[in-house]
Parts: sequence; structure tokens; C-alpha cells
Amino acid sequence: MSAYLLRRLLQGVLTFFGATLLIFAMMFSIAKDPLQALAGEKPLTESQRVQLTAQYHLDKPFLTQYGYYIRGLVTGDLGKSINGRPIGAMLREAWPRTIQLSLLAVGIVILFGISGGVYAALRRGRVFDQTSLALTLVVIGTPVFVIGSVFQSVFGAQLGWFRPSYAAELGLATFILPAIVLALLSLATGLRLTRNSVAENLRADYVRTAMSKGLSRPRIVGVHVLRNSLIPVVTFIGADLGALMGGAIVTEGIFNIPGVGHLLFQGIQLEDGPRVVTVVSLLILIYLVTNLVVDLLYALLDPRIRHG
Amino acid sequence: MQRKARLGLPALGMAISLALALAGCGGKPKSTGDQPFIVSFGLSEPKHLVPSNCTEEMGHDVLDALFVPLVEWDDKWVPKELAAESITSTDNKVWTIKLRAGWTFHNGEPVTADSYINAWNAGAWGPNAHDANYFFAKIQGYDELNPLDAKKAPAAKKMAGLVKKDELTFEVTLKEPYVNFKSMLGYTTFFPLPDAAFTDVANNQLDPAFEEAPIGQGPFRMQGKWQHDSLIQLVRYDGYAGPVKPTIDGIDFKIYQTLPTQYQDLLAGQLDIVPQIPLENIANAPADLGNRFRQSMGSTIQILAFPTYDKRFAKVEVRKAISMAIDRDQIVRTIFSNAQVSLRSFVAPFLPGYRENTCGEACKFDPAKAKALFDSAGGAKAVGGRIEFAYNVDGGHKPWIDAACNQIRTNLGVECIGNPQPKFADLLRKAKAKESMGLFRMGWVADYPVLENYLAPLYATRGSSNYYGYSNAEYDRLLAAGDRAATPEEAIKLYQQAEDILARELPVLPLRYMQNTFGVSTRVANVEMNPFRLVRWLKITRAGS
Repeated sequence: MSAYLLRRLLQGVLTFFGATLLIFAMMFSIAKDPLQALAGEKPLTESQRVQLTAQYHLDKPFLTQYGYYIRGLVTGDLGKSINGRPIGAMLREAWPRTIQLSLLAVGIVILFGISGGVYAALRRGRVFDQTSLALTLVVIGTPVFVIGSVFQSVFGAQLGWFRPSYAAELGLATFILPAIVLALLSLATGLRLTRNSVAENLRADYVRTAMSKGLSRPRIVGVHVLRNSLIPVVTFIGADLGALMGGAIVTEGIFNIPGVGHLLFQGIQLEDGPRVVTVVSLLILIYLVTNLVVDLLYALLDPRIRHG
Repeated sequence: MQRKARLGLPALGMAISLALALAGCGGKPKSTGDQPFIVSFGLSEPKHLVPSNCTEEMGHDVLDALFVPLVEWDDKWVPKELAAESITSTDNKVWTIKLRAGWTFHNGEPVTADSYINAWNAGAWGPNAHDANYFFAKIQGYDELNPLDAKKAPAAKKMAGLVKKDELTFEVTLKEPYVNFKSMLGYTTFFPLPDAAFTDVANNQLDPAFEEAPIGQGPFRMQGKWQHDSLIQLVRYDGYAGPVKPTIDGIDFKIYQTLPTQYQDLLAGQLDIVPQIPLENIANAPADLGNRFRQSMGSTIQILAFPTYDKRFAKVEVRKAISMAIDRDQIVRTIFSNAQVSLRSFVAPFLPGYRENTCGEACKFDPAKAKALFDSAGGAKAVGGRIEFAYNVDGGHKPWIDAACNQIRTNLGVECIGNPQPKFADLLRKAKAKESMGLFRMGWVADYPVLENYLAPLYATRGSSNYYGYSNAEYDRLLAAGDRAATPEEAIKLYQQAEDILARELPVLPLRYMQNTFGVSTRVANVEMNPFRLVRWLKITRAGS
């Protein structure tokens, strides 16, 4: 087990550096003139241009710039964004918001996706099963910005149940509406996945054996079936959490949440290489960790799986 | 980390948070008599909050409440002394600025001649690379602070043209006489800075932490720090020495990523002022908001420019034909729901000296004449078979570009396509590299209310935003003569002659100017917005008071 962990972690380090190099190269190739991108439609004087070019090493070749970046990263200095703010401070502000939002969303997915899926599987072909199938189909087919804008307008502006936008003073409550929007898509997938997985397992031989042994139905479903059915669902939710941590760019944009997605979007718009590379590198780290956790969870859920 | 995370126990779950959310919405800030009256304003994240490092509206909105300028413009756009007691010059070259006594910064420091001199030197200091650096270029000694080689240290640390006479008086010597200098002083860049803004005044070093909580001498002061991407809070400064005091207690600049969210917050009663109603909501806004939907004169103009390096547009007949084939009024009606207005001059209509329709026949929609003119100038073949309109996709320009292209196709019988570029910076890069991209769009917003503020940067040979390379010696001469004129009135006459040259040569096509289209809540009254899109914070009052 520890050998497995070590191997995975070493792989992680390699993946991390490879990925930063790739992203750095990509940003380097699209960033034609970050100084003008920052200036927008306003003119930039020649004197200002030469000063900023020197300060941000924009005239240096690719590998030198990458070297500067890695040196900063290793010494714990995440560098400065092209508008002069320290990237570390930006991340410290943005990340807690994105984490709250994505954990809330995943919580909703787990709560309603799994329970709904199990219920639909147990009552296969009945009203709940049919309507939930139809509804999830609609949700999966609707782009998230449509759901987001409609929810914001209806539940925020018209009904007044929620604030239409992020309000720091409300604490976690401010994330509820965006989390629901964010969760809906995964909820639909999670529900269908759970339903099919449970339905399939209900027909398995071991369930028949358990029934003939005289075990109670709640115990059969709750312990035996559920545990076996959750493997694909856990994989799905694990990957989903990784994706959500990257900041839901669209949802954060609609509800004005100054999270990681916003940071990234702004960075790409401003051709802000250091910022984009830093944010994406950290996202890669998160993906690596969540993937590892999901793989370790497999062993807990299914004793047949052993990591050696 | 979360700034105001009152709810520390996520595990409490949905029920409690839902209840909180409902409670949070039910109790929106009510304006009872003794509670402070704070007005909220929808903002986008500013780049910087140091006056000389700020050339964009977002920063101006905040700085305009924290500081007051030396002069303010009256109804006729004549500059009148505000923070200054007098601004005088006998030759328009050497200006003596005398400050009013008794003014203080928010931290208690007195405002002196040094506050201005230090701020302006730091703004002009090349290595600081401030965005508004070029506004100081008219002052003597500017060039010595701005070497064109970053490895070289500037030849001087202070501009020779700024001389302190006594505690409250200083003298500004310009390189050339400039009749509009007094008006120019109303712009953000010329605000003073307290000593607290500097780590090293002698070397023009500003404290990077200063802009996290800027200190001005205006009617409002910072409450806490700039909460990036989320909120900037201002409260009334009781020591404000200006003649008119604010009636509101503070301003919450709420920072938004997108305009539509601001609009939803306005509808939900969570935001008092939305300074720009998003295009997608404009059609419904009058119905949604009733008399809370407001419009006022703006200063932004939209033009289409012909790159001079592109020989396809070398003939003035071709340029004129394209202009006459565009139905400006129809685009304004159908695409902009009249939030923008057709423009047939080369400057914005609010300016003193603006004349309607200087463009004349060239801006009149006349498809038959346009076609005849186009064909006589060589037709489709002369422009290489098709006309392109280059634009930046991040600015919401696609609808009108496509509409204009359709009109060209129909009226001139030549293929016309939009040429989308990711950002405005990409348009500029292509223009600098003299790459073929067709006509390209540009916008211009005024900094101070003078004709020259449009005519020089956009059309002068060395204009800062003349990216298309227009150059006419007579035009440059008239502009320079206008700058050296003895009075603003004489200057206007010369500027107008210069504008007449543009009408003959059509280096660009004037298309539209933008109106301020904004929305206000039921809580506020007397919300006025000037052409620079700035809310007059001293005029605004509580509704019903």
C-alpha cells in the first residue's frame, strides 16, 4: 500500500512539472502583447512599454521566462500578476469561496443524487422513476448559463428568495443558489448513474442469496447493494469535485462570485501568463489528490480491489 | 479566510443556510432616519486606484469620490476653480496655481503645493510606468523622466517645469503654450497625493500598499481596504473643505464580473445605481424600471478607421461610398434600441465647439449615390473583391458590425464580412505591423471637455491613438495653432477648421456616440451622470427627502 502511494506521488510530481511547462508554453504562444491587453483601448506610451517589458521579463526567451517562474514557485513566491497584485494573495482570497461553493454543490449531489437514484431504482418504472428520468434528461440538455440566468432572474430578482449575486456578509448562505445551479447537472448524471447501478445490482445473485437467507430488505439495499453500486458514483463525484474546484467559470460569472474560475477567466483575458499558469498548476495538484483519494476509496468499497 | 463567514459550520446543512438566505433577502437595508444612508454602485474591478495610474472608468468612479480636482467644469464646460483658489497665466505657458487654504487629506495631512508637485512627478516618472503618464508630457522636463531605454536611468528625478512658490502656490511651465491647460486640470490624473502615499518622495517611490486604501482630499474617505473583486466602501469625510458637502453618508462600490448581474441586483433592490444597462436588457429596461431608467449625454464615440497602409482604401471616393452605404439610424434603432445615437461629426456632441453634421454628404445614407460613387472608383475590384470590418469580439460589437456589413453588401453589391479578433490589443498589433485586416472599429472617450481631446489623439500625425496612420500637415498645423491660441474661443475656431479637413479626407467614418444609459433604485433621487459617466456624488440625495 505505501509503495503504491509513493509511486502515485512520484508520478504526481512528474505530471505537475510536465503540465506547468505545457501550460506555460501555451500561454507564451497566445500572449502576443499582454501590456496592450491590460491597457484595453487606451494608448500605451513607449516609455511605459519599455519599463513594463523589462519589469515582467517580457523580452526574454521562453525558457528563461519559464526558469524565472519555476524559481519563484520553488521559493514559495507565486509571483505578481500583470496588474501588479501578488498572485498568492489573490488565490488566498478566491479559493475559500470556490471551495465552499463546490463542497456545497457536491453535498447536494450526494444527498439528492444518491437518495433519488436509489429510490428510483427500487420503484423502477413507477411515477418517480419516470418523471426523474424525464427531468434529468431536460437538465442535462440545458446549458448551464441558461439554468443559471433563469434561476437568478426567477428566484433572485422576481421572487426574492435569494440575493441575485454574491454577498460576503451572508456567509455560506450566499452560495446556496449558485450551488444548486452548479449541482443540477451533476445531480442529473449522479441520479441516473446510481439508479442504473442499483437496479443492476438488485438483480445480482448475491441479493437473491441474501434474500433467501432472510435478511431484511433495508439491510440488503442499505449495506450490500449500495456499497457495490457506489463505485461508479464515487468515481464520478470525485472527478466532479476536481472539476468544480477549478472554479465554475460560468456559474461564478453569473452569480458574481470572485472565486478561482473568475481569477482564471480574467487571467486568460489579460494574457496574464504567470497568473494562469499558477492557477492551473494548483488545479492539477487538486486533480492529482482527488484522483488518488478516489482510487483509495475503491479499496474500501470493494474488498476485491487491492492496491499493491 | 472568508472575509465575513459568519456561518462557520457548514455541517449544519441546508436548512439553516436556506433560512439565512431568506432572512438575508427579506431584510434589505431600509433607510430609516437615524441609519446611515449608504448608496451602492455597480463597479467592475479597477486596475489601479492611484490617480496617475488610472485611465479607466472603473478607477475614476472611485477616485472621483475620494478626491476633488483643482477645477470643476460648469454647465457650459468652462473650468471653475474648486480645490484651487486661482489658476492664472499671462501667456498660457507658465501657469500659477494657488491653492485654497485649510484643505486636509483624510489622514489629517494638510494639502500643500508639494502634495501636487510630488504626485505629478511620481506620475511622470518613467520607471513607475503609470497609465496616465502621458498626461504630463506637456510639462517642461517630462522627457528627462522618460528615457526610451529601460536600462538607462532617467536624466532627472523631478520635472523642471514644476516649481514651488510658497506653501500653497506653485508654478507649472509647459513646453509650449496650451490654452486648454486649465480645463485639463479637471482630469483625474492631476489629483494631489499625501506624503503617506510615498516611501521615498525624492526618488518618486510610491508605497504599493497605498492603493489598497487610497487617501484623498475629497468628500468621501475609504472605510477599510479595497476588497478586491468584491467591495470598496467609502464613508463621508467630515473634514472635507469644499463648498458643497455630501448629503449621503457613504458609497458602497460593489464589484461585479458582468453587467447582467448588476441589472438583476437592481431589479431585486440590492443595488442603487447601475451605471450602464447591459445591451441585452436595454429593450426591456424602460418597462422594468419605469422612471428609474435614465439617460444622459455621454462622451464615447464609435468610429470605423481606414488603415492608411491599406491601398484598397486610398481613394477618398471609396471611403465616402462605404460611409454613404451605411444606414446609421437603422443600426441605432434596431441594434441599440436608441441607447446610442447616430454621429455625423468627428467629435462628441457635448463639447463646446461641436457642430452638427460636419461630415456632410459623406455621412448621409444614400445607397444609390454610394453605389454610383463606388462603381466609378473601380467597384468591387478596387477593394480586392471584398470589404472587411475588423473588430474585437470581447466588446459586444458583433451585432452592429454584421448589420453594417449587410448594408454594405446590399447597397454596394460587394462582399462584406466581419473580421473578428480576440481583443482590441490584437487589432492594434495588426495595425502596427501593417497587416491587412480591412477597416477596424475604435472607440474614444473624452478625458476633459475640449475639442482637442478628440482631434489630437485620434487624428494628429503623432496622436497617441492614431493607429491608422492618418497624417495631414495642414491639420497638424491648425491643431498646434489652436493649442497656442490666446483664448479657448479662438482655439475652437482653429480646431473647427481642422475638423473640416477630416470631413474632406474621411480618415475614419463617424458612426455613433453613446448615451449614458443607467438605472437607479427607489431609494435614491437626483442621480446625475456627466458625459464622463461619473455620478455627481454631491448632488445625490435620499428619495423623498
